[in-house]
Order: sequence, then C-alpha cells, then structure tokens
Amino acid sequence: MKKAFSASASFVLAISLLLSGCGKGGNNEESPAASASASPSESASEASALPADGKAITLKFWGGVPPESGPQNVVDTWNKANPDIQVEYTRYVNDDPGNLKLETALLSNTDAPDLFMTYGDDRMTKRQEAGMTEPLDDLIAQAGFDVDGIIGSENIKKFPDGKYYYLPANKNIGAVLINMTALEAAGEKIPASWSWDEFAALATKLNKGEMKGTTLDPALSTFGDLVLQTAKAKDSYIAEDGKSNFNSPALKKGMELQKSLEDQGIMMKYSEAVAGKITVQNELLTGKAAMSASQIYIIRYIKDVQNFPHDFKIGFAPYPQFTAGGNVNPGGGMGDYMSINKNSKNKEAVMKFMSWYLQEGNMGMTPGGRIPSSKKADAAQIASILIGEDKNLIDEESLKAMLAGSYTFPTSYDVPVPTELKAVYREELEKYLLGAQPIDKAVETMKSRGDSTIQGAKK
Amino acid sequence: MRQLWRRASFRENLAGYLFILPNLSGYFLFVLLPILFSLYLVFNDWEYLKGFSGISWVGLDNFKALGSDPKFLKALQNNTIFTVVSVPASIILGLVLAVILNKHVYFKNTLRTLIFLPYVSSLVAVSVIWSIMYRASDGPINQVLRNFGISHPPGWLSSPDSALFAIIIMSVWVTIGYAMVIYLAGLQGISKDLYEASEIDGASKLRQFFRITVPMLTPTTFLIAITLIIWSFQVFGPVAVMTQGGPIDSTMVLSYHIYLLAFRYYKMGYAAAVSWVLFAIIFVVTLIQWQSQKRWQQHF
Repeated sequence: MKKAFSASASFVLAISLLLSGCGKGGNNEESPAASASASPSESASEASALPADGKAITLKFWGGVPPESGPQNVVDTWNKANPDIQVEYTRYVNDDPGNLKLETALLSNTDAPDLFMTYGDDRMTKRQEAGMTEPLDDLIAQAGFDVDGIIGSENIKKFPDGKYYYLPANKNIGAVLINMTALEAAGEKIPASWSWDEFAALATKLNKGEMKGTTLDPALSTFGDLVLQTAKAKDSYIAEDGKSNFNSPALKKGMELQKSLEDQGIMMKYSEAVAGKITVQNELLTGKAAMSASQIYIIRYIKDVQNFPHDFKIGFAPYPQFTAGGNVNPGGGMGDYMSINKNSKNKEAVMKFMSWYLQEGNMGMTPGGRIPSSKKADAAQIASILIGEDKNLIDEESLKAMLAGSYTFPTSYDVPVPTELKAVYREELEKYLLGAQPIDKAVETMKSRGDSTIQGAKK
Repeated sequence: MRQLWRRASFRENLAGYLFILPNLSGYFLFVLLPILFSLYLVFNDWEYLKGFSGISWVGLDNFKALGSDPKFLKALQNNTIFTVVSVPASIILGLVLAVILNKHVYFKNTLRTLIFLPYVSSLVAVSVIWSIMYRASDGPINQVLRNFGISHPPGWLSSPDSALFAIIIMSVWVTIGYAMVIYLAGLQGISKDLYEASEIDGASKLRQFFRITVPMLTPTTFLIAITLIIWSFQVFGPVAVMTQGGPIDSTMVLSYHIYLLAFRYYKMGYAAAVSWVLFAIIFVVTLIQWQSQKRWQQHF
C-alpha cells in the first residue's frame, strides 16, 4: 500500500513538473512581445480604457522596424483612440531567419499575426503564391478605402487573379548622398541630372587622402544592379523574351564601373567591404567616403549624432541615369507591404486599422525616415519632420527637391526565382571583382546560369 | 494487471520512468522527433510556405542532386581541409603547452587560464573580434606585418586564398585550451616510476617525451581527437559571422550550406539530405576511430 502511494505521488510530482515546465516555456515566448507592446506608463491607461464587457479584440501586427523607431508610437496612438480594437506590435528582424520565423508564425494556429509587413516583391510573391495572404478587394470595398486616390493602383502589383493582396505603406526614395563639405572643397555643385560616367568622374574628384570617393553597402547594392535598374526599371533581371537579362550592356557597364573604381582606390574593395561589414551610414558619416548611392532613410543616422558624431551637411542628388533624360529611381518605390493573414479571425478590424494606418498612422513613421505612401501626405510637412532640428546636418534645399521630384520606380513583380537569380549574379560578380575571371566570361556565365535557373523553375 | 502491480520491480521501474518523464518528453519533442522528421524529409520535397500539405515524395532525388551541386562538393572539400589542418594543430600545440605547464613555470595558473579562456568565450564574440583584427587595410594584424616590412600582407578574410586558413587559425586558437586542459589531466595519470626508471637507463628528456608521455597519453589523444573532429565538422559560427561562406565559396562549409539551403532557399528536403550526409561522415569517422582504438588498447 505504502509503495503504491509513493508511486502515485511520484507520478503526480512528475506530471506537475512537466506541466510547470511547459507553462514556463509558454510564458517565456510571450514575454518579449508583451514587454515590447506595453510601455509601463501606457499600460495603466490602456486598462482603464477597455470597454465594460472586457471583450476588446487584440490584433497582432508584425513588422521589421524596431518598435522605438515609430511603430510603438503609431500603435499607442491607435490603441488610445480605439479601446475596442487593441493592436500589439511585434518586431521580426528582416533577414533570412527572421522571415522564416514570420512565415512559421503565419502557419501556426496560435500566436499567428493578423497583420504583417513584407519587404520586397520576391517575398511578397512567395507568400501570395503559398496562399498566406487574404485577398483584400472585398475588405477594401467594405471599409470604403480609396486605393486609387490614396496609393494609386499603378503602384501595387497586379496578381494573376487581378486582386490586391497587400497595400504599401511606405514610399522609399533613392538618392545619391554627398558630403557637402567635400563637394564644396572640390568646387562642385549638386548635380540635377547626370550620367554614370559623370558619377564616376565626381567620385574620382572627391577621392582625397583618407576619404574614398564613393562607397556602397555590399549587402544592399552593387553598381551592376544599380546601373541595370536605370536601364530597365521593370523586372530588371528579366529580358523581354523571358530569359535572364544578365547580358545587358548596362549590367556590364555597372560591373566595370565598380571594378575600375575599386582598382583606382576610389572605392573600398568588394571583398574587404563584405568582410568588414561596412554600412553606408558608417562610411559616409565618419568621413571615410564622400558620396554614396543609397536612399533617403539614411537621414535617420544623419540625425543620430550620438552614434555618428559629425559636423558636415549631407546633400541629396538624384540617381545617375543610363539613358539621358531618364528618371529611374533605384532603391526607391513602394515598400512596407501590409497584408492580412488568411487565417485571421478579425479581418474587418484589421482592415479598419490598416485603413487608418495608410491614411494617417504611417505619418508617425516619418521621424524614423519612412515616408508615407499616401498621395495626400503633405510633402512640406514630411520634409520638416525629416529634417527636424538638424538644419546644420541636412541640406534642406536638395532634400526638398528630391522629395518633390517624380520618378520611375523599379519593380520586380514578375521575376521568377529572384533569390536564386540574385545569387547567380552575386557569385559571378564576386569572381570578376576578385580577378578570378574576366568580364566577358563573367557575363557569359551569368547569362547561361541565369537562363538555366529560370528554365529549372518553370518545370 | 493487479499481479503486475504487485511486482515490486514493476513499481520501482514505473517510478523511475515517471521521474525521467519530464526530461524524456522534452527530448522526444525537441530532439528525437525533429531527427526522425528530418530523416523523413530526406526523401521529400517540402514547399515550406504551404505548411505540411506542401510535402511531396521524391524518393532519392535529393541524394542524386548532391553530386551535381558545386557548393556541396566545395563545402565537403573545405570541411576536410579544415579538419585535417585544425585538429592535428590543436592537438600538437595543446600537448606541447600541457607538458610545459606541467613542469615548474612561473605564472602557471595565469597562463593556464589565459590559454583556456578562448574556449569558454562566446564563439560569436571571438569571431567578431578576429574579423576586426583580420581587416585587410586597417586591421592590427596587417599593420604589425607592415611594420615588419611585409609590403603585401595577406588579405585574410577578404581573399579566397587565405580566408579558410584565417578561420582555421582562429579555431585552433580557440581549441588549444581545451586540448591542453584534457592533456594536463592525462599527464597526472602517468606514473612517475616510468620517468625515474628511464632516467636511470639514461634516456634523454626528448626520448622520454616520445617513448613515455606520448604513448601513455594515447587514450587522452583519442578523446580529444574525436571531440575536435566532431566539433570541426560542425563549424558554423565563425563562418556565419566572419565570411558567410565567401569570398567565392572559399569558406563554404557543410553546416553553413545547410543553413543557406533551408533558410534562404527554403529547400528543406535537400537541406535535410545534406545534414544526413554530414551526420554519416561524422558517424563513419567516429566508427573508424573506435575500431583503431581497440587495436591501440591491446598494447596496454
């Protein structure tokens, strides 16, 4: 009897240990999201704002921007005004494992986000094809959201079934950022329209002593890519015949441009830049490089004098063009694709939040360097929010000119296997830049590998 | 049932199983199940974004693809170079240091701690520091080399010729401490009588080292070799942090290739196949070592 008792007691003990173990695991997973979404000062007022029956809907919203760079403010503003629909923001890191985490969460039945951001046409296409996203047309009609008036249907990818699967919340603008002190010392002015050859000439002129003429973040862009986009803005990796576009003269020109800048010491060598994990903000703002073809979002770092102490102004020039008179804006275009999880139980509520976010809410992202996609957003207001107190660090005139311009934004809506094609380009480019193969061989291999990659995907 | 319950052994066993249940269930859920699932995936193609319904049977196609995957072959080659160079280097240097530190030297404890420290440090932190030291244009290593009059020091991580060796040097630096500490323990187990007897016979110190120390340490060497070989085949952290497999795949290793296949290209089935190949390699190497160890042990 005694033994039986002890056995059953140990069984109870084991089960309770197991349960408490599981319970703890669950809590641990919850905590980062909880701590991220409720700042201590806010939680008290949130609790009192809840409706009497306590049946507030909680929406889970996943995005790649750190909460402190805008999303938290936006969500807090919404939560205060809408006690019945509470939004919880969770950040995922926008890299390979981070995106896999988001996708795994979307597949799960518990803890799945209702609303999520996608960055890049390639990932959007994958998620739509896998059926993870809800078609938005009915919800848009229900919410009375004016897609054409606010975003412009030409700025959204048309999926094969003619439906919307996302709405973009952010408009990126690409720009060449220039150290104004260096520019003035060289006796030059910010160019209004220019070619890639003129870009190379200016980089050569700006290259003085410790300061390189130009720089690129190798993880984000290469000159081959950029020049190719200025030559063919739509689906730049694909030629008209549906095969790869790697034999384009523009791509070759860009690759040769990069190689010659590197060989002359006007730009850090690609392999060193990769190994050193250099970033545009670090090179530009510490005076290691005078100019960089990048994007407006760098303003976030220009204003961050604590991490990047500097005292010179940064000016903004439009991108050089492959064909004279072009106005392609590489790096620019619609971003922050908002989609609704197909399995969300509160789609109408999500649409309500999304509609608000796209019309007003995303203005709260502007101080962090993200420009609203809305056509109705006030350009002057955006410029003043972007510049803020830092008129001595940002060249106001050229920034306003950049914001006011109209551009052709590159898109890659219909590129098959974009990840694989990019890898083909990068691998052959690397071999060329390191001197392991000449340019003609590089282009030839790229073209044939690209074609067979596309062919393989069609099977 | 009742009779079974009366048997004391059954009740004792049951209690025992219940006690290990919490841990065992975790093992089943997070270790065994994923392993079995990956074995199943080896024969499948998984469109990951479609969830479990995206799994389709492809038989041996994943293994057939291995032979025509240049990155896999390159990774296999790099892994082999990595192991063949780094393991003997760690063992030899670790043994020499252990023998020196086992004698009377000044600051013995301090030195031992210093040498062991890299092994217990975070590999990611260590990799970040080394990648700064390795920087080709302004890194401290190349600046020192330039001061010694070498005008063209190696590009280290930025050159396909030296990147793999740069990582090998770092990982040897990390594992020396481990080898040294195990050898120090092994040295305590060698009877002093042997050294005294050989001294009377007039053996030199060098002869003692090769005829007594090295053979007596064989079981220790075996242990270190197995753990280091397994460790070196699984090398991932330094590659992910320092080079991402580049430049031109010169540091592509199997574990990083698996990571890219799964997390960048979403080829879960193929990635599972490569990881089972990695498992098979480690398994075979370990089996061979077990067999040869049996032969060594007969000498004692």
